[in-house]
Amino acid sequence: MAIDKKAQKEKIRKIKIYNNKMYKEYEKVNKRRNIPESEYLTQMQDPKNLIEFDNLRSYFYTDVGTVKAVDGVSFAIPMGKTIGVVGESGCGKSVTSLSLMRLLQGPQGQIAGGQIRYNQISKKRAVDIAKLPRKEMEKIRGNEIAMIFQEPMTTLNPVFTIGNQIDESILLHNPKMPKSEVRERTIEMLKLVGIARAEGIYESYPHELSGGMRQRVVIAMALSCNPQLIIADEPTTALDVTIQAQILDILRDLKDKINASIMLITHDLGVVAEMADYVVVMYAGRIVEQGTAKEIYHQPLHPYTVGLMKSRPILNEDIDRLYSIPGNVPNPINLPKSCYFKNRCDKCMEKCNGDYPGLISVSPTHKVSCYLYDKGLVSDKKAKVGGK
Amino acid sequence: MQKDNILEVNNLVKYFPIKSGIMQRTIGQVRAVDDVSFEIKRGETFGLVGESGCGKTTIGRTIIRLTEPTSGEAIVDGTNMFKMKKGKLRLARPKVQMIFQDPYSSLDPRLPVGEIIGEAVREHKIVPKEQYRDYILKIMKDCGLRPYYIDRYPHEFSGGQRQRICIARALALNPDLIIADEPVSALDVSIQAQIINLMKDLQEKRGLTYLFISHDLSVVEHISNTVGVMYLGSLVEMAPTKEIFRKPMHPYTKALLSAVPIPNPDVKMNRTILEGDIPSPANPPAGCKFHTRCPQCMEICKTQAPVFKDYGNSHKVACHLFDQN
Repeated sequence: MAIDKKAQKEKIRKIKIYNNKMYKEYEKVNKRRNIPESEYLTQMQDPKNLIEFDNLRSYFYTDVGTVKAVDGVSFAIPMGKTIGVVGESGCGKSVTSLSLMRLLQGPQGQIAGGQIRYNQISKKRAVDIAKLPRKEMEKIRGNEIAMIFQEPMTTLNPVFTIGNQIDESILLHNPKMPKSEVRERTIEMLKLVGIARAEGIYESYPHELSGGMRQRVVIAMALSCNPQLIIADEPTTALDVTIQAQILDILRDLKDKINASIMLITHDLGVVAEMADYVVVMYAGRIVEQGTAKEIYHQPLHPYTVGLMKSRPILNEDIDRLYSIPGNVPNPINLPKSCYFKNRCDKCMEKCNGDYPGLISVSPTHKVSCYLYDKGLVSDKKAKVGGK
Repeated sequence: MQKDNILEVNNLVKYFPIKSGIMQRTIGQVRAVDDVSFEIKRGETFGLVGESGCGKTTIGRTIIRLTEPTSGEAIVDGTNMFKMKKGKLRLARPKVQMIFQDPYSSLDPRLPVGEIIGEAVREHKIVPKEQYRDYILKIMKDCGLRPYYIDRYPHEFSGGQRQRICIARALALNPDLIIADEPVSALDVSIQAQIINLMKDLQEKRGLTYLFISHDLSVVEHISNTVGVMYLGSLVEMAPTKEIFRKPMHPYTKALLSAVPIPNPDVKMNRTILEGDIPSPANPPAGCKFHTRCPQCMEICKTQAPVFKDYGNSHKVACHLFDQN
C-alpha cells in the first residue's frame, strides 16, 4: 500500500513538471511581439470555404494527465452553409468551437497543432487562426466570427441593460460610430430577431426577460457586427420545444438575410436534421463520420451514428424497445491506440484491435472512420447498415 | 375510488404565496397547480408533459407531500395522502417513491452507495437485519449495478450510473408508485435509452406504476399508456397515448407536437409556431389561459374558461372549439 502511494505521488509530480514545461513553451510563443505576417498567412484549399479545420489538436494539460479533447479533426465550413456538429457531452464539439474562437482556458487548454484556416474576405487573405497574434484575433472575434452560447442566463451580464451590452459590442469594433447611430443599430438588430417592443427591451435588464427572449438578445448581439460565421453552441438546449422552434426559425431566416455560415453544435439529431446542410459526428475527440445531412440520415455508416439514431424514440413510430449503446464514453486520459468505440461496438472485428482507423471516403462528401468500410467491403456492407 | 386505480388525484390545487415588505404580507399568489384531476391504473404509466413553469413538477412533489397542498386530495391505494398526520404519513411514504431530475445533486456525496440505497430500507424495516446486505445487492443487480459498487461513493460514477442508483434507492422500498420527475433529461442520448429500457424492464418485472413527468414528447410517447398535457397549472388535454399523438385536439397540444424536430432532413414540416411566451402564473389570463397564444382564439375564449370534458375514447379536452359542435 505504501509503495503504491509513493508511486502515485511520483507520477503526479512528473505530470506537473511536464505541464509546467509545456505552459512555459506555449507562453513563450504567445507572448512574442511583432510576429511576421508570413507566419500566419496561408492559402485556402478551396476558395469557396470559409473555414477549414486541418488536423486540429487541442489538448488540456491537467494534473491527472493530458486530455486530448480534440485530436486530429479536419472538416470545412463552406460559405453560406450550415454545418451541424453532433456528439455526446465530452466528445470535443465545444472545444472545437472554442479553439476556433481562441477562447480555450489557458494555461491548461492549448491548441497543440494543426491549422484553422480562415478566409478573411474583408482583407482578401487567408489566415491561420491557430497562429494568429492576439491583437489580430481580437479584431476577428465577435466581429467576423460571433458565438451564441447555451445558457442565455449566464451569457448576459445581470448588472447592465440589454441595450448597453449590445452597444458595447458594436462600439468595440466600430469605435468611431456616433452614439445615436449605435443605438439605432442595436434597436434594428433587436427587431431583426423578432422582438416587437425593441425600444422597451433596450432599457430592460436580463432578469426581466424570459429564457426565449434572452436567447434572442444573445443572437442579436452576435449579429450586431455582420459576422461571416455564427457559432451556435447548443443554442436551444436550455429552452422549451415551442421556444426552440421559434429560435431555430429565426436562425434559419437570418442566415439567408445576412448570408452568413452557421456552425451548429448540438446533441439533438432532430435539430441538426432540420437546420444543417452538412453533418459532422464526433466521438471522444475525433470525427467518426461526416457527410451531407441526407447521407448521414438516410445512410448512417459508423456503428456509433447508427446507434445514436436508433436510441432516440421518434414521434408516431412504434418501437417496443429502444436500442441502447452499451457502456460509457471512454476516459479521455490515456485513450487506447485502437478504435475508441471498440468496446461499445456490436460490429467489432479482429481488425479493430489494430491502429485507429483512418477516414474512408464512401462518396465524394461522405467519409467514415471504421474498418467495416475498408476497401472491398464497402459495397455489400453499405446495403446492410444503411438500408431502410 | 375505482378498484384498479393506484392513484387518484382530485381537484388538486397548490398556490404559492408571494410575500413582500417588512411584514411579509401576502400580496398575491402563484397558481402553480390549479384544479387538476387524473388517475393512474395499477401497472401503467401516466406521462405528464408541458413547458417549464407549467406546474408538472409541483404536482409530483405535492402528491408525496414534499410541498403541502392548498386543497384537493390524492388517494394512493385507498388512503388520502393529504389527510395523514406525520406518523402515519411516514408509514405510507415507502408506497410512493420519487426519482429526481438531476442525479448529480440528488445523491448525498458523503454516503457510500450501499448506504444511500439501504438507509430507508433499514429505517422502514423492509427486511430482517440478517438479510439486509443480500437484499441491497439483489436490488443493485436488478438495476444493472455491479456488486462491488456497494462501498463506492457517488462521485466515482457517471451520470447514467448515478441515475441507476437513484432508481435502486426508490425501488428498495417496494413502492407501488414511482414518481419520476424528468429522470432522463440530464443524461446523454445513448445513456437515456439505457435508463428508459431499465425503467420499462423493472415495470414489467415488478408491476410498477409510474407517474412520468417530462418535457420531452418523444420519450413520453415511448413510455406512457396515458398522457396528460399541462398548460399554466391546468390539464388541457388527456387521452390514451396513441389517441393523443395521432389525433391531438387542443391547439396547444398540436403546436407542441409540431414543434418537435424530426430527424429526417427530407421532411419539411408545416409548423404552427406559437407566438410569445407562457404568461406569468401569478397573473394568468382571464377565460381560457391559452387564449393569448392560441392560433384559433375566439371571442368566448377571452371571457369564459372552457370545461375539461370527455369527447369519446376517454379523450378529455378543455377547449371551446369542440364545445359548440
